[in-house]
Parts: sequence; C-alpha cells; structure tokens
Amino acid sequence: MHIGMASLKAYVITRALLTIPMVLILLTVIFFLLRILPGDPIRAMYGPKIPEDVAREIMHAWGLDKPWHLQYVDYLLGLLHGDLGISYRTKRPVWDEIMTYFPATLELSIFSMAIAVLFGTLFGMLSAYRRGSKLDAAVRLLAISIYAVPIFWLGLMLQLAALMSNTPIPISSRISPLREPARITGLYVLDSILTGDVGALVDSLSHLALPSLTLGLVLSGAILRLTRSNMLETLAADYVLAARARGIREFRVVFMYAFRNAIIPVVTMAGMLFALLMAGAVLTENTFNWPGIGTYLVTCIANRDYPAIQGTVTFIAVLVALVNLITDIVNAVLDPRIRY
Amino acid sequence: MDGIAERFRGAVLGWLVRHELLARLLEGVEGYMVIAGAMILASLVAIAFLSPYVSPYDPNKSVGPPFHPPCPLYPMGTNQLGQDVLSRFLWGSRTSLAIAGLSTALAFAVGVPLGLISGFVGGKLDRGLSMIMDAIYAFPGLVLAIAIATMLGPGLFNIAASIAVVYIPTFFRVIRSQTFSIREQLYVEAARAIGCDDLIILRKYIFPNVIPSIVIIASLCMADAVLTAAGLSFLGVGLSPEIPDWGYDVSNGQRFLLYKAWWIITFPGIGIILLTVGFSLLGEGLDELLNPRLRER
Repeated sequence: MHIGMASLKAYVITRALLTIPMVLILLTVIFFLLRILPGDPIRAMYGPKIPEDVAREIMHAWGLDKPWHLQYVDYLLGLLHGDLGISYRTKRPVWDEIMTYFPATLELSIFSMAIAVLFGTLFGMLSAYRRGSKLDAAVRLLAISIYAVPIFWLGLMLQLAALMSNTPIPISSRISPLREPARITGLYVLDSILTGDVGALVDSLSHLALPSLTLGLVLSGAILRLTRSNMLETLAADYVLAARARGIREFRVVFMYAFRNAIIPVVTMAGMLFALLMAGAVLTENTFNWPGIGTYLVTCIANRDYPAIQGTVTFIAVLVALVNLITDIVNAVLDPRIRY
Repeated sequence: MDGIAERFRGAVLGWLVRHELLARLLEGVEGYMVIAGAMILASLVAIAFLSPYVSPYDPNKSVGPPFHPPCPLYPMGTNQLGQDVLSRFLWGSRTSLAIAGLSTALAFAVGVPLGLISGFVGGKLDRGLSMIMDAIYAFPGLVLAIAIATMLGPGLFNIAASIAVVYIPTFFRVIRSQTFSIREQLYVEAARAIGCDDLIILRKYIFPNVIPSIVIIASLCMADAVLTAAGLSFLGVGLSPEIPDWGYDVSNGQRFLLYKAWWIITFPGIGIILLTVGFSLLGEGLDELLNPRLRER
C-alpha cells in the first residue's frame, strides 16, 4: 500500500510537469502563426488608408517593430507575471476581458454538460440493455445523426421552431436588457439565486434553454456511444452473471453493478469531451449571440487583436491542459496499472 | 505516384480478399452501414459532377423574387437576392467535397510520413513529435482552424490547409502506434536480415500494412472536415460569397431568421448532414468490419 501511494505521487508529479511543455507548445505555435501568416493588425483596425508614419508609430508603441524572438521573450516574461497584455482594440487588460466573458461560457457549459450527461448515459444504458431491439437501433441511428448535425444549424432550427410556433422563448443573448443580477460570480443563475432575484433567475434560465439544449444534444452523442459500448461489456461480465445468479433484483444489477462500472471509462474521457465542449461552445455562442469567450475570440480574430487572440487561446490551452491533467490523475487513482 | 496508387489498390484488394470482406459485407449491420454510406457518397459525388448540367439556374444570378417560398418553379425557394436555393444546394456539394478531400489529403500527406518515421525511428525524435502532436490533438480543433484560417485569408486552398492542421495528429497517432508494433514483427526482422535498408522496409513492409487504417481514418476525417469547414464558413472565415457553399448559405440565412424564411437555412444544412453521415457510416462500418475486437460485441 505504501509503495502504491509513492508511485501514485510520482505519477502525479511527472504528469503535472508534462503539462507545462504542452501549454508552451500550443502558445508558441499560436504566437508564431499569428506573425508568419499574412494579416496586419494595424490595418485591420484602422483601415487600409492609415498614413505610413502613423502606422509605424503604433507599431512601435505596441512593440511590433521588435524582432520576433524579442517579442516572444517579452510575451513569456509577461505571462510569468500573469500578464496577458493589453487588448489593441479595447485598450483593456486581456485578463480582465477574459474574466468578463468567461462566466457566460462557463454557465452555458455547465448546463449543456448536465443535459448531455443525463441524456447520453440514460439512452446509452437503455440501448445497451435492450441490445438489438428497435430502441437500440433508433438510439444508434440517432447517435450517428446527432454527430453529423452542424451545431449551429441545430441551434438555428430550434430558433426557427420557437419563432414559427410563437413560443415566447428568447433566441438570443444571455438575459433581457437591464435584468442583470448584481455581479458576484458572473454566473447569472447563481448570482440571481444568491441575491434572491427571482425575475433575473427566470429570465436567465429561459435564455439558457435553447443554447444549452443545442450544445447538450450534440455532446450527448459522444457520451451515449461511450456509455453504450462500455455497458455492453459490463453487462456481459462475470460479476453481473454472478449477481443475477444470487437473485439480486434486475434493476439493482443494472444500476449498481453494470452501470456503475460502465460509467468509469466515460469519466476518463472528460478531457476529450472538454475539447468538444469548447469547440461546440464557440459555434453555439455565435449562433445565439451569447456573450462568451467564443464570441469574444471570433471578434478578436476579425480585428487581428494579437494580445487578445493569444491570451484567449492560451487561456483555453491552460484549461484544456488542466482538465486533461485532472482526468489523468483521477484515472491513475482509479486504475493502479496506470503509472509511468 | 503511379506506383503508389497501384500498391494502394493492391493492398486494399488484398485486404478485401484475405478477410472475406465482400462476403461479410452482407452479413451484419456493419456491412449495411458501409453500403449505405457508399451509396450516399456516390449520389453526392454524382450531384457534384452533374451540378452544371442539372441545376435549373445559375447559382449566383438573381432569377426570381427574393424570399420566395418553395414552389414548382423554385423547388427550394429563393434567398434574399432572389437566387435559386436548389441550384446553390447542388453547386454547394462541390465545395464541401473539395474542401473535405483536399484537407484530408493534406493531413494524410503530412501525418502519415511523420507517423511512419516517428514510430519506426523511436527515441527522442519520437518523443518530441508525439508531444507536439498530442498538444495539438488535445486542443479544440475548431479554435485552431479559425485562428489559422483568419490569418491565411479566404480561399478554397487556405481553408483546406487550416482544416488539415487539425487532422494531422489524428493520422500521426494511429500510424505511429501501428508502425511501432509492426516494426517488431518477424517479417520486418527477416527483411532486415536479407539486407533491406530502412527506406525499403518502411515503403514495402510497413506502409502496406497501415493502409486499411488510413482508409478508415481518412473517411472519418472527411466527415469531421465537412463539419469544421461548415463551421468556419458559418463564422465568416470561409470562402468568398461567389462560391456556393452550404455553410455560408446557412449563416446568410441566419440574418433573415425573423422573416421565417426557413428554406434558406434548412436545405444547405441537410446537405452538410448527408455528406457527414455518408463519410461516417462508411468509416465506422469499415472500422467495425476490420476491427475484430469490436466485432465480438
């Protein structure tokens, strides 16, 4: 037992250290891509007719006239102090900008993930349990079709359905104008509960309905397939047969024996699901005009706002790396065979 | 190039015969998945080739009143410029197929050689390459593609290139791990014993054995590439508007959502879904047919 803990500790430390090069590689790739590829931030922002000497002055003020490797060193040094730079477009610190938009993305992600997990595990389980039935065939077909549906198109179809049926459900933005609850966490649902603002709670939940359903449905496809194939394995396992032989009720066998063991590998796919979630969030936010980090990123890219693009991409990269790190550690705790 | 194509065909045919795939095609669900996928793809490819002859109108010309709902004259209606949605739908298949094919080919051309070399050589090179590929693989692909596509600017090739970057690690990872295990096979050792150099071993002994996986990954990548390309067009970092494109048409229709002009959005979306379903049915069906572990389930 003691030796086991020591090797787990070694694993966690090694794995955590490996996160650093992963983030470094990504932000280096983005840093140089932004500079190698054509596209001029000054002309993207002030228009192509800006006088040459003014442009040069701005270049100097932004440090863009320095050689690339010096810009890179400056950037890394700033990062060490938690400084992501100042946005060219808004002249505000990038970190503050990200913190303004991120709660919206987080709120959307939490609700979508809840829908995806609920829908995905439930139907994945049923489909495996009734393997070969019509239900199974329908669920499998659904899983393949959900994957193939462009997420923005699904969002637009839901918006259309709401419009055509005259349902008074909001199809754009996070909350009605001037309804925002007092800011504590930036998560409107949580803030309105904390401040006891029922009107804001109902309003923000109704704004969340369609975007989180869109993102949740698309994500549920992946969870559904994982649950189904894992559940098929556990249902055929000897311990399930043994449990049935002992006369344990079928409901208990399916939930406590087969399902519990089937769900562990799904948890270990959290890293992959998180990447899917982030990519999906960018499209969903743009479809529903949701003021999150995905909408922000697209705006920054259109304006060639280097520090903002770099900062946002670095932020997402760190998030992805952290989620992968936690996933791998949970994995290692669950499965003692995973060690370096 | 001719020699490679020849060997490619030989290897695929060899696999078909060795694993009695043609017989198995008609056996289970997997076979029908492959057949259904191939049929969907064949019809879309046919549409792409025939679009100049079967389109009722010029996709870029105003041919009727704007926002006309579907009717016998305009079976899928018209958009805000009075362009025929059906003609744009038919022409749009060319764009999606071209981008999916081109981006997958580019990802293949970079990912497969790197995977072969990395798995074959091993050591520090392998560790370094794997780390870079894993970093890119773990990152949300669409975000990466958006960043590159914006910097490259519009154009079919630029879009395909930025999408290809996302799928290079997919090819790399599978090919690398397969090369890693094939390298230890007895016939590779035998080849070395009779004095083959590394290049010949890679080309003649290892490459043909990874071809079936390449076919599967390529098919699944194309499915994903269609969606990524549509996402890029939707966000406005895709092609210029003269090129009929399903993703662009959907985003264009979004602006007129309040007019309840459902036909502008719905039909191009169905095109994207059909193409993606075709590629994923083909890829997954082949995967389950060739992968004995999955077959047991």
